[in-house]
Amino acid sequence: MLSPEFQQLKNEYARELRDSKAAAELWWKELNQSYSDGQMQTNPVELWPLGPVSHPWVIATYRKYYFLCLELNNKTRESTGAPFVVEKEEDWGNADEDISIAYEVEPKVFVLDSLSGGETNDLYEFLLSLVFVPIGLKADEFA
Amino acid sequence: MSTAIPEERVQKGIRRLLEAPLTLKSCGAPIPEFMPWTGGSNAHRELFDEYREEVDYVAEVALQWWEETLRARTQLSPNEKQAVRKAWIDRPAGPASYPGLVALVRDYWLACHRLNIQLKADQQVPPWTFLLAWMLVGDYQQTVSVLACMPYWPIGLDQEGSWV
Repeated sequence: MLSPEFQQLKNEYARELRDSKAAAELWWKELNQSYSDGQMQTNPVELWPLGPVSHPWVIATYRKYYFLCLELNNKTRESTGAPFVVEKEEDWGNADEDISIAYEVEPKVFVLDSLSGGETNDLYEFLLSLVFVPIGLKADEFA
Repeated sequence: MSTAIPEERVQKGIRRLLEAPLTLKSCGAPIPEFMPWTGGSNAHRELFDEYREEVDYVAEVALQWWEETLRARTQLSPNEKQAVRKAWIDRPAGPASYPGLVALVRDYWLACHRLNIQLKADQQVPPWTFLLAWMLVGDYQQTVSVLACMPYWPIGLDQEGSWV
């Protein structure tokens, strides 16, 4: 179970991702229409094999909330008295809601797994095709 | 070139990565009209000198990591071909999934874009031209083959039409 701060961030993320998804899907539809009409020579799927999920609008939203989650984790660590329960990939969906409240969430869990189920499951399924993670780490961040 | 990346995948990848961004014009993305005869500005060429050295090194590390991944998978499997196919299914970007490579590509894409917004239109260079097309000239086949494994550029576009 997410803490109220993470729940609020998740709600904002879901809202923004839903907008990005809708815009990217419309772009994808128009691109395919151009191909069908003969205005575009290359089949869009050859240029964008994963389809609308890989549109830079979706990538921008995904990255934005990945780093906002990281920021919220850092804030939580700095604040006094907060119990640190880290929500990890293997824990997602297995937590006992009465006793386990996540005050810290792994960003990759937040941007994908936290959307699984309920009203955001369509977003989770959409993002499953984002097979090439657009985050990146620099050499000094590997440790 | 490394046998860890099939040649057909490389050719398709180059074409995809150079053509796909052009389909973003209707989305307000900054797509410079590249003038190949100008080759960009001096600042672009200086930045490219830094980039080609760095990307050549990071692509080598990424490829080693991928070759080790494939080796480990094939050792554990009775069927080598199937194990390799499964590795590509699990990680469709192959060696390009290496996080250090993703970070480097993003850094130079954004650096190229920052130069572009300071320059006149005839000196601007599309980031994908800078990152990939310029690498096609010279002895960078291995690095190009690693870059070509990216199914899409790991870059975002914000609502103001800026790369992020």
